[in-house]
Amino acid sequence: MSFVRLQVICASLAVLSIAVAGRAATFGTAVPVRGTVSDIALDEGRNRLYIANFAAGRIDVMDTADPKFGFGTPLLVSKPPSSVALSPGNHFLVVGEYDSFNSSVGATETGGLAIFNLDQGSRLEIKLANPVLSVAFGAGNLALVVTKGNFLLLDPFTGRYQILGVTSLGGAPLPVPVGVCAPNAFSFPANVIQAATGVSGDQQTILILSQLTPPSAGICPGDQKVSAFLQYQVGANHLEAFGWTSSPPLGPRVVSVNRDASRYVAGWVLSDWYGADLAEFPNLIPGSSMDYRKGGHAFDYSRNLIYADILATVNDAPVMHVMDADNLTVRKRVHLPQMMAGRSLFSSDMTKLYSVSDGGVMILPVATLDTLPQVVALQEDVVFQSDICTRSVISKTIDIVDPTGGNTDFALSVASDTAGIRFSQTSGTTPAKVRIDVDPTVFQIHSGTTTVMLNIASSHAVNIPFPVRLLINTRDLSQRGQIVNVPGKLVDILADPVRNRIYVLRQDKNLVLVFDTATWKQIAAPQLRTGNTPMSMAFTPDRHYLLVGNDHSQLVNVFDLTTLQPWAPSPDYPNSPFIRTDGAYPGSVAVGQGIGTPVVWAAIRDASAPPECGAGRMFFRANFPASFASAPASLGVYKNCLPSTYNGNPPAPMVSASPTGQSILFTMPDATVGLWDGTADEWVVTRQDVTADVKSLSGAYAALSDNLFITDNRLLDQSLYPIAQWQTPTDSATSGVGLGATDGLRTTTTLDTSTTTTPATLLTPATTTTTVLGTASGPGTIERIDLNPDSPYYLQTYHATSTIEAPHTAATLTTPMLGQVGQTISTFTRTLAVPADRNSIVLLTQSGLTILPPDFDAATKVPVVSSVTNLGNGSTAVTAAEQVLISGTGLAPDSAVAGTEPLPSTLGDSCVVVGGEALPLFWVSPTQIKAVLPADAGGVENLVVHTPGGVSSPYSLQVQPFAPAVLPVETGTQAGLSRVIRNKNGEPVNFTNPVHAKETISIYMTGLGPTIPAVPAGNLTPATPPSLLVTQPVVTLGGVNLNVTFAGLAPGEVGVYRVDVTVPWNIRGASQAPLVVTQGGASATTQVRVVNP
Amino acid sequence: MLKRLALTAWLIAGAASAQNWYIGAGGGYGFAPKLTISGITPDAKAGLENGGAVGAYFGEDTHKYWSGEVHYLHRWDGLSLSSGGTSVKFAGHSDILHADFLRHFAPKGSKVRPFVAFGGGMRFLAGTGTESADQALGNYAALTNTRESLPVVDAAFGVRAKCSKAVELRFEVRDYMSPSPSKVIAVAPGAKLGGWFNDIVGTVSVGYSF
Repeated sequence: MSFVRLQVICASLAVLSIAVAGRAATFGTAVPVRGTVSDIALDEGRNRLYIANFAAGRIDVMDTADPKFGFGTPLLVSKPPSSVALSPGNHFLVVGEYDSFNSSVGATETGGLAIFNLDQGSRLEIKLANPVLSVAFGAGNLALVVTKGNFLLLDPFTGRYQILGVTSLGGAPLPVPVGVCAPNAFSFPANVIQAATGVSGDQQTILILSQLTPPSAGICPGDQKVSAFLQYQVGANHLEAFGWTSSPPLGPRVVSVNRDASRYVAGWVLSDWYGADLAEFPNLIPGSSMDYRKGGHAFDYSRNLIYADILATVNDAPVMHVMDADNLTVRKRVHLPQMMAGRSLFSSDMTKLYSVSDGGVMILPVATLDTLPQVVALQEDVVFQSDICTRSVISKTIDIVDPTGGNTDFALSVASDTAGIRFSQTSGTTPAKVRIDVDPTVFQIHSGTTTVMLNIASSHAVNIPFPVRLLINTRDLSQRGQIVNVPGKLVDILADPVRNRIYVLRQDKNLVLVFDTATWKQIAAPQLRTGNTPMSMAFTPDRHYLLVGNDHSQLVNVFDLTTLQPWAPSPDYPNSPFIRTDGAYPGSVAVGQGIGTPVVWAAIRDASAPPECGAGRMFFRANFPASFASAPASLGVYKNCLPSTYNGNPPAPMVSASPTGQSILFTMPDATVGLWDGTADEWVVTRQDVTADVKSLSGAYAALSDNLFITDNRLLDQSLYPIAQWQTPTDSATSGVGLGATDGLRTTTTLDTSTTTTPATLLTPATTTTTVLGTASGPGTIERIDLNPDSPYYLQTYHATSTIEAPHTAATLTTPMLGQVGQTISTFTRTLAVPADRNSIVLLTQSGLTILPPDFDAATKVPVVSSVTNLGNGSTAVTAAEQVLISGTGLAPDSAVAGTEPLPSTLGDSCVVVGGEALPLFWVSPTQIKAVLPADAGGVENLVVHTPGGVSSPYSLQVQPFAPAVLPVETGTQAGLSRVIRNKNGEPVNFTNPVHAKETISIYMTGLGPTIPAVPAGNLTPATPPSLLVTQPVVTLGGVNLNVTFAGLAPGEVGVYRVDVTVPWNIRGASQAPLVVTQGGASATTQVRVVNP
Repeated sequence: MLKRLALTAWLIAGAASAQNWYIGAGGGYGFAPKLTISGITPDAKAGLENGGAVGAYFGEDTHKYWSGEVHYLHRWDGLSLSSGGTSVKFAGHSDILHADFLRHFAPKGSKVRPFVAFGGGMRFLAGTGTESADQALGNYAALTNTRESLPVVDAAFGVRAKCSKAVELRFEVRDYMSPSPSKVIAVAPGAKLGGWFNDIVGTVSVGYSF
């Protein structure tokens, strides 16, 4: 059965497995509610969950102790209940009412409160002029009631309430009438149209997320709504507004708060006490329906986790993300029976989570989540490395396990059109070690790294397993570099200028990875955790700190590189070790040396474009070590605005500081570039050079010095004038650029293309369309840049060299998100770094890192083959499966010996191909190679040697049918003796160890022809079944025929034949007698001493 | 030759008519000077090792002063090869079977009878050691696990002393001379092992007359 056909069968089985495993297990229990659930309240003392059923106009009462979660007698209310809250001590249930549907034309909306005394079983109804949006209890006995017209503080015992005033930040009461789109413009709370509340774990703080509509048209662009945050301090009885966002309004309409209100999630934003946007889901409005009921979250402060079901599209399946509470890094995804759709409440022991869901409510036993069946692969990436000469299948093993230790089903699959990969099993139960066999010959056409995603599914696991990335590298030997696998989405790399480290930004896990350049091992601890969706890094001029810009956090992380810890926090904000960029996402950061102070420039994506900048602002600035950055009104003589035509996609210009810090370059896809001059602390240049052949820029960017800048394939001088441009093919992209020890360096990547041909018709000719794909399975290119101004080749590139795999480009980084909630890939890439010791060059490539020596382009000899001889007798007569000695020059960069069988087809960066087949290699050196010819070689064959220096000219071989030769002993004190072994003592025959009558000797040979069964060249010959010669040899000693007792391949050896013969009793003694082995008309003779007796 | 045969026949006839037979057994030690292997510089030495010997004999006092004997001697004589500071040893042994004439210097019946002896026979030389392709000094010779037969002539002197009517004590020193071996000690091409080698064995024996 062929490899491909077997793979197809396996793929079919995989599909079948998927079909069987199509319905995955879900986490939690969904309890249907006939109606529309608007809110819930948990009464643990009475084992009740009160469910505000808006459409049914009642409070459903669910029994939480009932295994079937049955319902008791509902509590009736007079108006649709919008909100429900339970007082401390479980005495009162306060229901907010929102009546807008019974209004006749022209009538206003009304509201009300229904107060249930649960101890006495009584009910009190209060009419309100405004609909109630939310009700919440803190630690006190008073309820905070948010209506469309005001904020009330209600005493449920008496039914009396008071109107609460709201102060803004700074203490001034609201409203403050002004004419700008800000909370001040709104008649607060008169313009509140929606609200949600969340209570801190200690019940001292109630947070309110409210949506406001402009009081009149034209104040806000597009009459957009505004979301405002308010907090009510229970102890101080103080309600204040402390933050706002203008566009879009936040959703889902849920507020989740941690224990002490130091952090909370409101809508899709995770914020801290001070209102800093720590992390957020991308602006994922719950569908074009603007249905803010869809989605939900909960803050599990006991486990430092956030559970969230946030939709990316309307049709997303219900999935709960289990995320880190500091930056929303996804740890796990679990299937839910229904989508979250509003408030979630924890039990007091934090073991259960009750959530409003799309069809009612859900009970999620979060404490048991880690005990439920799950399936994970222990490996994120599996790398298969081969080269142009590798013919044998490469096998690796992955571990599919259930972390709980259970036996859980799983199914594996790859894309249906994937060839060359097969699995020992495509389904099973955990724990399982699955062997993956890759046929490198299928991928050798690429000469780079092909990425195949291995998907995992399970019908009983509650989690959604992350896929495994299979990375198949099939390089040509001339390609340089060594791969260091680093899983994840790696979007930036920086070399520490003073320490032997490099820093790699892993966007999917929101981490800075730190590598020791001496060992290329990751420094595991401490972890440098960033904000959400980090995009770029920068050093402070003193190299003491590392800054990280994020695209889904409004902050710049700062890390102390001496301690590898977050920056010592600002005394004003002790728990906020970062630079805040309120209102903007600082994707790209650079730090320059200004006048007396380091200056942080962050190229931003505006959360909401101000009126003066239609497309948004460009930069925020902070004088380091300030912990706040803000948008300067101008950038010198330039407006701090993005071009009006800029659509923000892809986001943010990219900035890069020169090594001295005196210059910062920004570059944009529309070919706009700009320069900040630290000596003047001004943006001194901005220009846009669009030509007929350059209409946009992407790829590499850097400020190589204060006088030389690079963006894409352009070199710019200190006035950013283009002074040179390198050619880049249309299917290639620049990737990285940097400074080597003496010259500049740059890398490019050739992207994969797909060609389709439209057949000709009667009216139109055939057309061929080539599409550039977003993958790069071929090699990359690194070349030097002459930076010597005195050189006639100044600024030209030279010594282009292929790399083992392609460096990343924006296209190759833009792959489907795996477990991330946000992904931002700039069109500009920084993928090249040179460590401080200059002992290597590091690239961000498809499998992680590629490490190159600094002399990657060192001249290497092109191999030249001068002779191919029989290893046995040194003659040029060779046959199939014969051991041969290839002589010449430049045959390998260095000497190397094969360590294991089967013999490799590549050794020491050298391989030999005969008739298109790679030879197994015993050892290589610059002048000789010992190899085995293919078993099917015959007639005239061309032999070619591949090395990093290139490919040799073909050497013509005449392969004989038979070419017997006795092998020599190769090593030890007996090296050089013919390998005719006396079985009595196991030593080779010679003058002092003669052949005796009546004993058996074994003759080790080469060139005796085919055997049955055949053994693949380069493989160890097994002991069973024996591989016997098809044609028996004839052996004589001194002219006397010897009895051949065995003739075949020697077990335990590679490509060596063994002929066992018995010497007759009457053999004549002689000091030199010819021992002749004849096979197929050719013979091999060796002289031996014979003694009798 | 003819005279020799006639003398032999006469001695035997005389012995037969005297009917004074004796047997004996004893042991001793042999000293074998080494032979020189030439042809390769520097020379090497090869030969039998000095070693113990045991033997037995059977004879007849045929005449007043003459006796005839048949001897068997087992000699633990390994082989050796040396040159410079390097030497190689190889296990081996010899079995020598020979017949001798004895000329006593005291008449039959004397208590003490010194004698001289001469004769000939065969030495069956065997190399019993383990061969090795790495044998040192292999460029001179190969000490081989094989057997070869070598003619031997011997000459001896000794004394027989009667302890009683039937028992006698015997002391003798005998030199066994053989051509140099060619199989057990095989000289390498280009080398030459010349001459005869001597094996001088002194024994003490006890005999019994009947």
